[in-house]
Amino acid sequence: MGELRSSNIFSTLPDNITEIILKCLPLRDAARTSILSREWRYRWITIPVIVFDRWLPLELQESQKFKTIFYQVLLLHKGPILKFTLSVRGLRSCPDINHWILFLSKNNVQEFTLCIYEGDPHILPSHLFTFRQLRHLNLSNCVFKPLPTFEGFSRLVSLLFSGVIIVPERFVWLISNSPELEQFWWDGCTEFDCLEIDAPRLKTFSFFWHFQIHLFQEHPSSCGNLDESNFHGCECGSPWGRKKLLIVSSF
Amino acid sequence: MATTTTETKMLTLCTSDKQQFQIEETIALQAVTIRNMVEDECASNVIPLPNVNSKIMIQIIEYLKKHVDSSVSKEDMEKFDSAFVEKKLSEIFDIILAANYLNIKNLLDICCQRVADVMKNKSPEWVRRTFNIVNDFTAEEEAKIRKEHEWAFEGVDED
Repeated sequence: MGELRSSNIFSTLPDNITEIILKCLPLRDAARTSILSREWRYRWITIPVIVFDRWLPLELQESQKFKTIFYQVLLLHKGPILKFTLSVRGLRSCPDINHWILFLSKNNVQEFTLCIYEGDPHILPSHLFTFRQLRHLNLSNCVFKPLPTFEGFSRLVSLLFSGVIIVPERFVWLISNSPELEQFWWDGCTEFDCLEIDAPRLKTFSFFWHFQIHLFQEHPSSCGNLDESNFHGCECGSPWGRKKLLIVSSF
Repeated sequence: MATTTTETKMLTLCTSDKQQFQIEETIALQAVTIRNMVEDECASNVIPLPNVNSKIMIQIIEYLKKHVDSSVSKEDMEKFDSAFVEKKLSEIFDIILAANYLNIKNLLDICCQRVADVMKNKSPEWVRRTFNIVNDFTAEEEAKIRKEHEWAFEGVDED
């Protein structure tokens, strides 16, 4: 595809454009740009996105050899990390994860994904609860137990919990203290009898459990927020737009 | 018979090669740069766009016309976008520069994604050739960098 004009257009692009292009690449391809020329040598280490997922060969994922690469990437990185994903097959709870989260706590993370695939759930360290800029939180097989001083994630927009151990009242508290929350997904959660959730901006939510959902209509005139309601694993025939919902366990 | 017709407000855009394009204001305002000019009232009659030529402007207008249409489903819009970026790389780069200047975020994103898709799984030699990047490393330096990030160089496509 050697079709570009003789001018070196790629190297004359404004920095914001090369950054967008690098962000669109899997980390492995972005790292490979370090060898293109001196100009490209350190560009990839400033992309504010670190995603370790299926781009890693399965053998590296399952043998945990990816950790060496992971440390190298974290140590080289310069500047903020706005998006962080660690979703690697075979990942087990280990002390390294807490070191990484401590490192990230200084980086203004807005999107955080951690999926533990094997073994016991990972007990999240207190540093995670200091991510004040967090907008998207996606956890799988973790224990979510913040200290009593935790103030919530005031900017949270989406919350995905899969197999997360959390005290149900704490979950309600977390949702209620996330005024911007638009979406949550809760799968394989802790048993409870009854939850009352107050999430004024909620647009979609998904439950994979046996519940009855009751909707409260506190302010009939302000209906219409939850227009794409998404009820999985539960029955709900009523259109959304409510301020509150009550979830009653069928057990 | 009385009809209520609201007059469609039009804007005239003038490209670097002095071609004029008359388009509906609602279409043009998707470009944040144009919106700012209109809001600041710097755009009385003709809006000069010295960084965009007419060939690229025609394509950008095609994109904006589609994206202003709220009746298009999300699926159809995605189909349109993926067909829209099926262009030669040189053209994609021209659209990227224009979209950056006009501040049309979605258009910039889909074009940058197209460039990234072209680069995926390709060897550094292929990328250098395709994008005219001059390798100014010595052989030793290159070997050293390759060794530092060996993991990044495994499993690339054959050139």
